[in-house]
Amino acid sequence: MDKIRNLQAGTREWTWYVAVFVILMIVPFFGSIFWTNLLTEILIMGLAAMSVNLLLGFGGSLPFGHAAFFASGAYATALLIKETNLPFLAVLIIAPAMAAVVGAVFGIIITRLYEFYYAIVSAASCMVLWTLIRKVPILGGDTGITGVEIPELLSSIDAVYIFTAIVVFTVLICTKILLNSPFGWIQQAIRENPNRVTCTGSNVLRHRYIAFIISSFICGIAGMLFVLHTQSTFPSYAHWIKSGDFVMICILGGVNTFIGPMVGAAALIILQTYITSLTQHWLLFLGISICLLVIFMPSGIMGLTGHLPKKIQSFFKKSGHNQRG
Amino acid sequence: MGKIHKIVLEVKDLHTYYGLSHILFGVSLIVRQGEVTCLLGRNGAGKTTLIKSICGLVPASSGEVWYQGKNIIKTPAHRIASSGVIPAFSDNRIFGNLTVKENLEIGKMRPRSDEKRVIWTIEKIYDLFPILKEFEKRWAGSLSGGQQQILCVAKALMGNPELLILDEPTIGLAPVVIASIGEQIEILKAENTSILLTEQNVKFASRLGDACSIIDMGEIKYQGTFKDLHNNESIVSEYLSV
Repeated sequence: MDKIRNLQAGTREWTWYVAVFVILMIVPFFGSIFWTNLLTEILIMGLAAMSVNLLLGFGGSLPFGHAAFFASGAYATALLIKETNLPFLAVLIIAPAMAAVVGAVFGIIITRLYEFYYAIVSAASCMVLWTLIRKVPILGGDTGITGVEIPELLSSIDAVYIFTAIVVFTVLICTKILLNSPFGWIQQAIRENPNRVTCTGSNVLRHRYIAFIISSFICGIAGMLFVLHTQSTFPSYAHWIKSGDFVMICILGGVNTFIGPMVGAAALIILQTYITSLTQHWLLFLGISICLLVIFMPSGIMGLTGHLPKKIQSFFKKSGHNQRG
Repeated sequence: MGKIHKIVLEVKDLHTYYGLSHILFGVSLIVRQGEVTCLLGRNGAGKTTLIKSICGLVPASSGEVWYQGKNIIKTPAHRIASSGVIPAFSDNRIFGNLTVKENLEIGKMRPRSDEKRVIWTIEKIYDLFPILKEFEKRWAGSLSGGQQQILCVAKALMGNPELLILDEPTIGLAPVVIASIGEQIEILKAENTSILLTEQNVKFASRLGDACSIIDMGEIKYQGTFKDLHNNESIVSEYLSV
């Protein structure tokens, strides 16, 4: 069915999660550094895209400014580590909270809007932050902040990877639980018809606002993880093109599924990595392959999961008929 | 009719516009406690607009809507709903991408402090509409039209309405289904639920209704009981016959 997700995660789905998690955990012991790095990036981008999908796939809005929260999380982490003596654990909590604060400010205007206006104003607010970041001296201007020192414990690539995987999975599970609560149902109901939701006594405006803040918090976590991964942060993190990446990942993976953004992130980043290794004109080929993916898989890669087993089944049934006939 | 019931909702001289076009021209209406008040009228007469104005979904330009001693004309729609005026619209009745049970859960509201009447719970809803229990895990969008209508009414009931507004519950449904919806409404009436029912189907409405108003071209043309209406063929043929 093309309908949104199966949120009532059955034991089978949880088994899948556990299996994937276990596989991810053993990658560093067998895979190369290259793969560990790639997977870290996929997990982080997937998490950011999932925060976008919370509003896009489940809320029916088009947030084109989530780079702002990604950058807020990243810059907050870098600054807190470099300029203050706060314990590392506190940084891990304060940095995403800063992104949520930025989300709370931007959200006041953005969540009052719908459709194109929502997309354009969110992109615009993201560019406001981008400009600010480049102009404020303490944020390092165009060069950004580099050489962010992270604790010994996380100094190796493998350690950052495992930490990232644990954080990302924890957030994924929390989000899944949230979406499978009345809050999540209202969020999906708003996608269908905000007016009808009003008739059930829910304050649609407040609900969209809270969802926006939660989403920016999650995106902030992704930004924070990215700083731990690269130990630096740049103004381009706040550029709307970055927001475009998140939206594209969602569409690629399938906005109507919970896990779609993760799959989309894997597809995009692996595609990007391989095409860049083959040709200089990688953007051209990346563009074409994405066009093809969108045309032939309108509901994203995850849209295939429902159809593929059925197609295979029907194929075998047909061949069975032929044998009998 | 014996005693006169308390007034639940009173609409006074309501004017509503869609952009520049004037839709409601000074509509007045009274809904009494425990009664089924019917609002009859043809397509485009202004029934749904009136209901949307009462619920705060379409802002009225002037007039008053009195409910629980307050004029709610400027109250935001979600507050009106959470104070107990709960509509069930005939178009886009339910949230198709949620399951039946999730639809019902969304309709749930905190019980209001002055709650005296029956409190609706999921179990009670399932007792009244066993079909919903059967389909509780299905996508609401995959239900038939009649089942969706039942779900829509059930969703509204989950909010424990002081006043349940049913907007053309029979539209587009098969006669058998209409009859069963009629039975359910009678059960609700027996539970002392106040209902405002809009209908084109006079026969259906007259079986259930106590008071009746006829709206045409955005004005109330008749107000009274069904008994008087039946003795007055000219009104029926002028405003209701197709």
